[in-house]
Amino acid sequence: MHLSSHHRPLSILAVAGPIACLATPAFAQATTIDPADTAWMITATALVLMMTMPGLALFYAGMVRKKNVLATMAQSLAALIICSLLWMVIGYSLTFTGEGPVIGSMERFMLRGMAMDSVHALAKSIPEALFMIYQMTFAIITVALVSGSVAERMRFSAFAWFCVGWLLLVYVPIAHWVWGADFSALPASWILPADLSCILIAVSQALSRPACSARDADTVRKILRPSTSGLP
Amino acid sequence: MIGTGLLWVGWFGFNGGSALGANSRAVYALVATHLAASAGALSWMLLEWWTRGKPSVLGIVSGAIAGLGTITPASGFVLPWHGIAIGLIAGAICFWACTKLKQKFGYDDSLDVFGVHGVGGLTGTLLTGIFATATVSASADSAGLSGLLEGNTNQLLVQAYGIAVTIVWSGAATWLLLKVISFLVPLRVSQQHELEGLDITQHGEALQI
Repeated sequence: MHLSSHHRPLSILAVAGPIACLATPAFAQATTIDPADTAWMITATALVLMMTMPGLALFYAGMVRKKNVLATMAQSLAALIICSLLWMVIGYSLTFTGEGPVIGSMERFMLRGMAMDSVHALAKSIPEALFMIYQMTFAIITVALVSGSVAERMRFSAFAWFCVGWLLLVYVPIAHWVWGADFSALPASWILPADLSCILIAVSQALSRPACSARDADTVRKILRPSTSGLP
Repeated sequence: MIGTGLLWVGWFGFNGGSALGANSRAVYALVATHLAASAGALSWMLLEWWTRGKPSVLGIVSGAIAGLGTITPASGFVLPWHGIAIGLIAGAICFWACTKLKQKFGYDDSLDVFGVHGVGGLTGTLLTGIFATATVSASADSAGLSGLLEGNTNQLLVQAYGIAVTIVWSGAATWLLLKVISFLVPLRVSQQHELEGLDITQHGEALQI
């Protein structure tokens, strides 16, 4: 970028000014929110969302036969849409509020009571809304991951119902046990969100397979032509 | 392939963000994550090269994903170089899971979600109990988590307990959920639809490529 010496001082000021402002928070010190943490977490949220859409969508789509590519992507999309809305309505509340050992409370039902500068105990340096949506992206990708285990097999409507039920029955309780308000409820509280996803995938995958192929075993065998995955 | 790239980069946000702040713990998590992805891809690639004679692209990306999935639980608790060790182990174990284990139990996991993410996640949770280093997770509130390598055998048991609880609960709940749904809507598409392809039969669309 060429700047004539005439403009240079002004442009330096234009760059230095905001940077200097960042160094000292502009808002009242009553809040624990830190701009640097917030900036990073916003970015992280976007990155994790990108992992599902289009990351996972493309990853799975590339592994199924051509005639199922769109359907596979649709499952990731469905997971994204359904989990986003459900998380906001009750998912977040049941996971991250309340002291119950099994499940949280409805304190944040529809995110009521959440203010622009409120914070969650687990993440005091970022706005609660950011914590909520960051966790939302984890819930989304977990459910989307499961779609991989039913790729090419599951009816879309069944999968949509599955997203709803699985998020509420499996993800929310376990996430609550691990990170809920009182995370000593489950000793293994050191499992990071993603790993939780992985474990949950493991189990639900193992379970959904037999349930899905509960039909005639012979028919199943005939249907299961090798996919293009090519793994030995 | 593209998906893997997006996942790999996205994982920086996944594990780096789990520190919930722009701090050095996030950075350690990030570095460990990246190293694990690379190491996982490497070990899978080498194993495939050795057993099949040729390394496949799918194998390399699967190894990377295996590394990523396995380092995830550990990323906030281990030193960056542990990422290499964990990644190498991840690639090997997940490769085994996707080949030998799948053949042995004969389950229909067409995209290897269980083999890569499931087995990887389980392995990673256990390895956290081994590699955890107190200084990484130490904060104003706690002294940090220590693993087997630092002489703490308890953590490994804690990890195993967590895994057991998770497996039991999610297994039972998922099975029940699928049973309930199957009363409303058949879970599987019909054989005919499966042969035709889900794009057309479920969504009425077709790719034009």
